Amino acid sequence: MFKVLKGGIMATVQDLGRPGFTSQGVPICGAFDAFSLKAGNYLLKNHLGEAGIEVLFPGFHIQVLSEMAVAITGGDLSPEVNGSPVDMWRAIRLTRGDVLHFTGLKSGCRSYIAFSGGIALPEVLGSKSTFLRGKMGGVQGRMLKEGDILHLGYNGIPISQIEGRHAKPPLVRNFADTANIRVIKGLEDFLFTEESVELFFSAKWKVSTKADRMGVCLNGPQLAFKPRENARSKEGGSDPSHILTDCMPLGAIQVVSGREPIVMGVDGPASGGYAKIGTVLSCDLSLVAQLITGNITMFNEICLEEGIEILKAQTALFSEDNVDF
Amino acid sequence: MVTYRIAGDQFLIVKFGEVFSLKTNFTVITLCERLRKLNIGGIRGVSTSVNAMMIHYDPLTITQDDLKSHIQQLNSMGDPEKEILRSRLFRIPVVYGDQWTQDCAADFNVSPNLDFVAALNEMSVPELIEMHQSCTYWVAYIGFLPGLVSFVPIDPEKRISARKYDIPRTRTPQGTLGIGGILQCIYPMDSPGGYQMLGRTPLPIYDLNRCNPIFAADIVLFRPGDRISFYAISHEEFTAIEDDIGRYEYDITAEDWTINDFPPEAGRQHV
Repeated sequence: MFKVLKGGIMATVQDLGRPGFTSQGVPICGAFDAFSLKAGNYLLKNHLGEAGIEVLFPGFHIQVLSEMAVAITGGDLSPEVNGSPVDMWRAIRLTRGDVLHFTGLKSGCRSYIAFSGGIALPEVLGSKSTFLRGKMGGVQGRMLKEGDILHLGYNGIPISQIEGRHAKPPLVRNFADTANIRVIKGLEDFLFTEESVELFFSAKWKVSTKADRMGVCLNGPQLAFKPRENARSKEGGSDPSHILTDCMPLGAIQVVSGREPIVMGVDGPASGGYAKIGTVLSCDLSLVAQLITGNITMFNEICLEEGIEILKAQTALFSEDNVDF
Repeated sequence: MVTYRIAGDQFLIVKFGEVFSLKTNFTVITLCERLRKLNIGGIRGVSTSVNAMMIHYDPLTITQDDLKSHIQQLNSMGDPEKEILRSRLFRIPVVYGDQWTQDCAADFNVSPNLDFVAALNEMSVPELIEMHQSCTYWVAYIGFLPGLVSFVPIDPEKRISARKYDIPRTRTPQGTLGIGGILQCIYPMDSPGGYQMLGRTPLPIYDLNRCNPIFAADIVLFRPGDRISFYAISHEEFTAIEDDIGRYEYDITAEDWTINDFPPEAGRQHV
């Protein structure tokens, strides 16, 4: 059990989301950097999809009300317990009265706190994830705030058996100011000129001020579309990037009017009416999640087969070979 | 004619033609229902747009080739054009040109949207309101926001259109009836939006708290393949409905619908 002392910028309860409801307009939701949440849960011997807290930027404080084991993963927001720095990517024991807080931005922007046994909250549409715009999940569909008291679940594992488990490098993610994000070209890439598709995969893109769980906007060169006879029809809209509204996959890169590509995030809309040049590899959404305004990102084109091999390799990382105890 | 679009490593989009057509939408809806009933392992979710189906899948459980053969199988389960869909018709009360959306437009320094849309379509406001109530709308898909319903007049002759806001509003009142292109929508909650606002309904179309028994099974009111008709109410009637929404009885009748019930239309929209 713990109490929130300061809500900070934005701290929300997240698990691995609620797939299966996009047909009702509900996004997939869940931890934006799912890899980091899973790693924390793995260190605690939880189910990988147990709910934890996604902490955006420093400023979040909690006080422990009963002994527990936690693992802090994701972006480095300089976590401290009672004023002393603590290791990330390690299962640590916290006792009654301990105060955990995040003091400064070092790398990335989202930290995850996983709790032994997870967080005890009701599921909404099959998930505990907070979806702010839909006011659903987590604690009353909102961000955590001062005074909230949360209870933990129980996984039956004594703390002594998990305390000190820490991730070896393959299971640790470091987030730098520049990111290489793998993208599978597709969807409406054929609407762009060939030069623009090349430009997209060679340019350096700068993360704009518009970056949140719905999507991350990028600034860079203008992309051009092939001339299209029927582009200005009344159904689609008046701009060559407009298309008849279509389903929106998580991680799709939508390019409104050829400028400001936006990578759609976990809370993004379930449909959209603009051309998409490709989709981020699912496991690289974790890198997108940690981007902050001013970071530089490049997109590397891969094919589907390569993407699936990478996904398999990443799934295999959750193994005792990558844990020291 | 089906084409596949790769959408990363966990989504596959299946496109059924490139033109705007309610008949295509009917086929998409019936095939999506068939796919759901097959209950295929590895599929996490299926959603639809006017002319496409999106499959969210676990690539470590099922391959894209397997998915494609399942899609082929859907077609062999009988001609979708002979399918009978149980289509619900909802009668929805609306205050046209209501005070709330007018105030909202004014807050964003935009002229009253209903006047603008009437002028765009070369009719007077009363003519627009009369025409809007004179037709039945087809629910093509749910998307963008939880429960946000998109629909078009079934009769192509009654399809007015309007361009979207150049700069989207940061706020739209819950229940706003909007139009963008030929698509119309109802906003399920206070939210940003870019469609021109025609009016407002007091009826919730999304309710996580299930204040009305209509939401007992599903938190969203509509599903693709439903139909809607609208009737005008006053501000006073709006408030009366809103004040007693827990006991409001939604006006719904279900009827069989086949692909031949759509009037012919000339599709032009590409992509």
